[in-house]
Amino acid sequence: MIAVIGLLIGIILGFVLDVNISDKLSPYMSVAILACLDSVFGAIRGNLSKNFQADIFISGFFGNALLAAGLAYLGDKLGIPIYIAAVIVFGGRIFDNFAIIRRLLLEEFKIRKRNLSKKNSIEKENNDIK
Amino acid sequence: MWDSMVHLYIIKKGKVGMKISRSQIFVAIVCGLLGFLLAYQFKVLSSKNNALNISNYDKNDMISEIETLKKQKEELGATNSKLSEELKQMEETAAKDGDLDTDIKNQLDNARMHLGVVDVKGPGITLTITPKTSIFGSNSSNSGDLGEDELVHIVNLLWYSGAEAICINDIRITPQTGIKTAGNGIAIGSTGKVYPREKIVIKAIGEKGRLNVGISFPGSLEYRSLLNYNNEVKSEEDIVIGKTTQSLKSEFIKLVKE
Repeated sequence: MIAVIGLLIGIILGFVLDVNISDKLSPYMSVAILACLDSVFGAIRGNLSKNFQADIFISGFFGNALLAAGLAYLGDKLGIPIYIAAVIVFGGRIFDNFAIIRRLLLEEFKIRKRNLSKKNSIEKENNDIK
Repeated sequence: MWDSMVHLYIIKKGKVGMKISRSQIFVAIVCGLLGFLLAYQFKVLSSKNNALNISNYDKNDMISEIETLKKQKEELGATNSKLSEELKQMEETAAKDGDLDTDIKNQLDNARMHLGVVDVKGPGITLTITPKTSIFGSNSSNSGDLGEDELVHIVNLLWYSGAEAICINDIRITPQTGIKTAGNGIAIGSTGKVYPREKIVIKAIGEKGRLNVGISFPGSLEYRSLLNYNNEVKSEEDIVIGKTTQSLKSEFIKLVKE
């Protein structure tokens, strides 16, 4: 919940504030955003599987973003498109995480449904006994 | 999704409040940062796209303008050749009638040949320059490309070796032709452009032997970026070099009367 609020505030600030970041950094920022998204998806997954750790999330968020942007910059200087490596790795991880999140959510949904039907049947039995 | 982290608790008076831990604040800040970056990048890229669209309109305008100018050029070229033909005929009739001395007529023709305003032919050499294929195949860097310096060097070398008429890719070099890098090509005067990634053919009329020696002198064709190009020199008996399409200007020069 709090993360969603933070995200919304960030988006509003991004549109409202007129911050000037050099145009040259724009391609590196795209790669960094991809790395950040990967971290966020990882966090959601961790949260659902009950092993979320805020420090790991935050360090991964900044570490991955910096590494991805740094690699893209280095690739630019060396003339090798290293950013493709970042795109493939983080893109693949986002899809993997999303698949796991989907499974976890579906399982949770099924368990809730089963519990609800069990509860109903117990209540019915109780009513019948009465 | 972060519900498990947010602990709801009831304060004494029965109000519902939220206990937020420090890590949650960090998570919110980090998510805010992500949102900010996303929004900013979105804004930047959409404004870039708008700018690109504007330049597309400009491009279309420029293309149509170039087309009209090309047509105009063709028409003017046709009128020019018609008028020079008429002038030639008039001169010839004048020479026949005795109004114009034959010597003067010859001198006039000679001067025209040197100025590049008439087609000329004669023995000479043809130098073909082609870019060497890169080992990496897709090497797109322009650092090793031919520039104005190399072409000026070759033209200078040919003049020095006694060339009487020179053309680069059928663009005649006249005394008023400058060679300058312009955009992705090299402008030869105001009449045309040659591109360093394509084949360049330089023709020169003059004494074949001298021209050959001049051009094949060790180091002559190894000047700067010429090292990245293959060159082939061919001696020919009958080279035709067309006239220039650039108009010669004499707005400021005046004859000094003795």
